[in-house]
Amino acid sequence: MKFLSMYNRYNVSVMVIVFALSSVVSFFLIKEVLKNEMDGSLLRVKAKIASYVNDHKRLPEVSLLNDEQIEFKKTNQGSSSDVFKSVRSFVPGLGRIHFCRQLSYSIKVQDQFYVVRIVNPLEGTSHLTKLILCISLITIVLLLVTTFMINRLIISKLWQPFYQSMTALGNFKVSDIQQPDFPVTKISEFNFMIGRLRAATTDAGENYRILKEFTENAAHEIQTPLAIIQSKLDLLVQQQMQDEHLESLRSAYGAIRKLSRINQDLLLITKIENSQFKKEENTSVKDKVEEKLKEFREIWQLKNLQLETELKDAGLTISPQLLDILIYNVFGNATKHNRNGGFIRVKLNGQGLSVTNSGPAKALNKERLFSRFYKENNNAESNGLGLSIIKQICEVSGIEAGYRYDENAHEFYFVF
Amino acid sequence: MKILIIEDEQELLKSIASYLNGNAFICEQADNIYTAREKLKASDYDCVVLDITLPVGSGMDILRELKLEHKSCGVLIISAKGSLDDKLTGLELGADDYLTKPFHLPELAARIHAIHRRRVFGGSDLIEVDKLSLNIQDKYVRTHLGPVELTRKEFELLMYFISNKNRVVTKEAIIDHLWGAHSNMPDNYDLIYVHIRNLRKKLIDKGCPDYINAVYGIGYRFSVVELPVSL
Repeated sequence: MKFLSMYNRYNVSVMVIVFALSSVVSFFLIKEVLKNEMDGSLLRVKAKIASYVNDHKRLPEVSLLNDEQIEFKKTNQGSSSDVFKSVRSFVPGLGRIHFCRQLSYSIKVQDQFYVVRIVNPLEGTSHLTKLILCISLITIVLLLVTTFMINRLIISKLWQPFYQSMTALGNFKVSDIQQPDFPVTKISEFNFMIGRLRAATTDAGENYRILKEFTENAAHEIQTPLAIIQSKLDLLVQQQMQDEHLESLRSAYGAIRKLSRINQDLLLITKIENSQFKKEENTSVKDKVEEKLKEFREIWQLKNLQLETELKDAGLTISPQLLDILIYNVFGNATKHNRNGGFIRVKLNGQGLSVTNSGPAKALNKERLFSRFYKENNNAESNGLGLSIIKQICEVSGIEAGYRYDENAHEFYFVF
Repeated sequence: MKILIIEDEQELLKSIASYLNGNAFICEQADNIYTAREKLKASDYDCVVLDITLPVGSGMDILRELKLEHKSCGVLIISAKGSLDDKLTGLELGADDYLTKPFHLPELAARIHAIHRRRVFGGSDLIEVDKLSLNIQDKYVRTHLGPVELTRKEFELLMYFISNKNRVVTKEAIIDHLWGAHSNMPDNYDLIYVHIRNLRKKLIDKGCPDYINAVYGIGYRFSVVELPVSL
């Protein structure tokens, strides 16, 4: 749920409740005021009656023209004070039972006590209830509409810097030299957030750069001692030696070869990351694939691998060197992890390249497959960098790489 | 063939000189740019093996000076930096070849031989080794019994052995030479076995002695009786 919707949910419901409450309260308040008004008018009628009685020494005629109904009744009880009461009574003028306000008191005319009842209908109150209900509903609707409009037009505009920052952060890669493009805003909370984000991304980029530089330098520095060891071994092997010494020498050769390979591969990955390869150009993937097929033919024949190809023209904007390394690595993997007498299927069309090979009856771990130094088994000849080189090339060249397994067939596919 | 090796790493310098000396090469050594300049001024060399990264100055400076003075020697760059830019700059400045550290000494010897052949004979020379005569340009080999039909790989292999004759050449060195330094197919070991078996058989069929001996699982040696005449 969006922040705004959450906020509105609380905001609007509280507003609706407050409004409903205030409507109820104002209803009662207004009703009370009206009642007081009415009581005042009843008292004015009482005063008129009193002055009439005072002047004429008899009760006045009850006029039907007036709203109020006046009743006189003889009584034996003595005088009593004013009693105001709300009653329901029939109002002839309206022709139905209605809420009324009644004032009763006693009056003495020529030694005879009368009870006077003055009743006046509270006509306004029902109108008032309806009106207040109407006003409340309209206001609530207006409230919802305006909140919605404000959100739509103003608040999403206010939140713009937030979304822009998030998009910028989403596109950020530590390997980028360029810092993410954060928006400029006057809102201090956003500025605070952007400041922190900027510091974090700069820091991450800087650390990444230092680490990369270290890898690069380390790899370069290792080259010279490696060259010395290699050359000493090359000299040593010229000597007359006993078999067990030759055996040691052979192990040393194997180890140094592995070390050089790891080093070369790490340097290659760094070079790809640093985009130190020749500019991208429109390259015919078909030509490259055919060239590599030729190179591998010898090995495939040796391993009795059945080759099936389905090649259509396909062009790609990529550094030719990288494409070369990519295809070499993919074919290399399909060969290394194949079994004698297995197959290799190469499919190429405008959409992409797919290389399928027979191999162990077990799918590879998709998540870890492309990570550095990942090895499915302890294969002495592989250092687990081949696929991360492939991944790196795909990343810089905008190719999507994937892996599928289906009944002993391992497929690596590349979507252009 | 007279060679100057310019390399600041003493141990590597010694190894290179030790391997090349006697293999039809006479090596001189320079471990800094000043000694290198003096030696280059004092005498002429057929080939200069040049390290790019020197403590003072750069191998590239030497290369520029050589070209300015129109020296006719070949130049082979050896560098720890495998970056393409370095390679291109070196080759543009007139270097003949470029080798990235670490390398196999037999590979270095083979490259120097190739540079020398290109420079001196323009690549069209006929090499005589014992009973073999090789035409490098046409990739053609014959013995007194007639032509030996070799595949491209077998011919390259033979050339590699001849450049390192009477030396042990490891299988790894052969793989890197035939399939490039980026090759890492375990199956390549089986392949060189097949190629060497075929090459041996073809040479023996044409009346050669068995030149190629396996050296205990490590590699092979191409043995011929050294003649006083160099390649």
